[in-house]
Amino acid sequence: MSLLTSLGFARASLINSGELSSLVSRNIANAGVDGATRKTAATISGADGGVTVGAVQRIVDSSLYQHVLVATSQQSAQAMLAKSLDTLNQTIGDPATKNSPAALIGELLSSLQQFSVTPSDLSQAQSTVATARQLAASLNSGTQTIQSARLAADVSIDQDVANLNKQLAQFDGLNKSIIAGTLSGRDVTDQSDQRDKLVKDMSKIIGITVVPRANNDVAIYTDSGVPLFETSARQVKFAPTSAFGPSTSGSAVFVDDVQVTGVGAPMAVQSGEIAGAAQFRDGAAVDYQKQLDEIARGLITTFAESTTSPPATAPGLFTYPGAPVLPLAGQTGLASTIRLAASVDPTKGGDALLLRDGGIAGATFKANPTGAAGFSDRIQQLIGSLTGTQSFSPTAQLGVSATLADYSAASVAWLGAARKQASDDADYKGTVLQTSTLALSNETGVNLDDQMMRLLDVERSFQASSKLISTIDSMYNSLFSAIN
Amino acid sequence: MTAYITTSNMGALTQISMLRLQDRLSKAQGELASGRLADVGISLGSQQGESVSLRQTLDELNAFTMSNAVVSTRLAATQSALTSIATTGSGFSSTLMTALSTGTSATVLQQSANQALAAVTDVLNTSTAGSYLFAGENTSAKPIQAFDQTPPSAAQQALVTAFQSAFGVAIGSAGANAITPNQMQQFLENQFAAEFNDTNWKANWSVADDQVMQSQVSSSQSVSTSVSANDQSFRDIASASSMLAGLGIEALNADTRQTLIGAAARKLQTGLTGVTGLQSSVGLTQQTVDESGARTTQESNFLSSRVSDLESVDPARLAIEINGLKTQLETTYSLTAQLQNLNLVKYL
Repeated sequence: MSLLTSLGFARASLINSGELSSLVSRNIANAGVDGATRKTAATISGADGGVTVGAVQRIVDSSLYQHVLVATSQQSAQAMLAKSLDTLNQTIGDPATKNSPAALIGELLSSLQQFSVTPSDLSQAQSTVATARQLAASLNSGTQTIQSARLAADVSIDQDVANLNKQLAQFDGLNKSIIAGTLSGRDVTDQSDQRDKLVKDMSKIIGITVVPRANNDVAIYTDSGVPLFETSARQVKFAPTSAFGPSTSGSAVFVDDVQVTGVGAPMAVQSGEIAGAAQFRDGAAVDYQKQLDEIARGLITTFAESTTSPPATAPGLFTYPGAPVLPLAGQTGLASTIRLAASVDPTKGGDALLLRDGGIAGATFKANPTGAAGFSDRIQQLIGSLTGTQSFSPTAQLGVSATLADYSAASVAWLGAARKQASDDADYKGTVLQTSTLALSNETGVNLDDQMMRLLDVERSFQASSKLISTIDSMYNSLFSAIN
Repeated sequence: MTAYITTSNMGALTQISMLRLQDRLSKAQGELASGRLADVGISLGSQQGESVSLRQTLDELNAFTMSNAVVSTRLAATQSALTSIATTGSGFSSTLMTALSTGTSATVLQQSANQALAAVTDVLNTSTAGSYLFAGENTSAKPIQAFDQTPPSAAQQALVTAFQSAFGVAIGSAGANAITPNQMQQFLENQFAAEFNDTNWKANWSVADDQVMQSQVSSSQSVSTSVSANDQSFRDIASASSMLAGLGIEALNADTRQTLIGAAARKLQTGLTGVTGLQSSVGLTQQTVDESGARTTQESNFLSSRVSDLESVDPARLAIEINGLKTQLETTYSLTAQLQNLNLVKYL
């Protein structure tokens, strides 16, 4: 071994120090970046005894990463559902404030009770009719709340689909560049980090499975198995609906021309914001609307008037555009169209006392032939049918037989249960996501102190190499001075 | 092997717990201030339905409390009206007794009969809050027409016609003196009595409705809460009074007059017995209403306490929780500050 060889090693060591310190500074710079991984490089001893720095590697943990993806999409699905259900709670508010149809039915019943003992009192009749008007209005506005929440879910799906397509296009570019870089031996670790980050962003929108392939290529599928990216990005299609009514059903999301949301979707996605929004738009909101429709139908039927000669029945206090025919069980959209009959509504020039006398639907339906001011039979009859059991459509998920008051309370209970479950689920999934994100970050992220220690090591070896060079230099100096 | 922790996680853990603590603290403070759950729906889940249902029942009970107050007022007014009729009736009755035993002048008798009839008519025409108490369901119409008025009332006219056709002479005319007690008895039992049957009573005397007010006093009980002026006892009293007020007793001979007074006294007695019966039945109804009121109060107290069980929060527990949260939050702050100093760079 010669002094020249030693000098060569010392020089190589200086170069290695430079490379290693640049790696440390890269790690430090990325310490706060979401999704950035820790980069390491092995130092390799060559056959001639020289030491070089190998290719840069990133620390990955694919199983933890997959956990994070699953947790992200499940959490965002539940959070979306919980958020949307929260907007439905506007129809109820706090039970103490009497906004809900259920509370107003109770109020109407007590107003009728009061009216039944003072049937000649015009102001009591008007106040009963006013309560009924409020009840009809609460069903109308409830429908609006539900339908605008469905519209919001639809808009959110639309935005998500647009973002997803954009991200898939980005992903395509990144993936191509990573494959090319891998084949040409370039450092692709930073791009791989970006690609992972992009997949994580997409998993918020739709449930994703990642399948690694040769040459750092990656294919991604929805959690139901439809390809989102396989060699090339697949198109995600969705046609937004501009306005929602009770009978509107929004369109489904298609990935690679396979339906992934909605009833009868062959490969329905289970998680991600799209799944949560679709579940709300096509499930919970539709059911809740059906419940309000059934409550409206119950009201129309309860207050319907009938006569025996000739036999006829027609909507009374509460009516709808289909009058004089009574609505059918499970008829859609009643809650949005239910209103007070004009003939009994003082604000429309009607006579509130028709509530006592009957004949709201027409003179033939009069129940108080003498027009006696103390006539309370009709009111008592209304109270009787309002507190009596009636049948409801099974499609609204609330049982088929109950009093109207109980049925409306059951609807409140249904919404409360749905909200609680969605919110608890979102909390739970949030915790899972947090735990797995922290675990992944610990596994693959950067610790500044650790990097500083590495820097100290590099500094030490740099000092040693410099010392070596200056020593060899002085050795040469003494050698040359001896020669001279 | 030592576990690896990334620098960002060291901050993240304290940050997450800080956010969670602050969120819980703000909710707890809101709950403490209002005494109610911050979001009843989320906290109760499906029990929110129970809370709404309880409130519906409470509303219904409150409605009964209010409507029973109206019913009570009406019953009390009815009761006092009946008492006043009974008093007038028994006063008139003792006048008749005196007349039967000692003989009272016909004019005085006729006058007191007229007064009694007017007083009873007045009472039957009592109205509360714009509706006539004894009108049955026809509460907007004054039930009884005054008997003695000019021009003569329909009832008065009818008696005149009946008298004329029975005896062939006019009321109060000289010819009436010839009517025998027997003839009078016949007249009273047939033609005169017919003036107080259903058809004639409703045609000449009363526009009241037979159907009395029915009121629901609890969810399961419905009671009659008024008395109709068409009740037999009122007709009897009216018939007794009009015998003496409307048949011109001063023109009758002494024997026939005695027969008439005797018949009137008997009829009056039947009427007064009827009124006592009405009084006791109204009294029973009053009792029913009061009892149902007591039950309603009890039930609504129970329901209110159940609602509050569901929706209210325990201030003591909340205060303890808030204290705990504050301590935890302070610890988190000081931990954050200390972690900031635990940094190798500071020592290099």
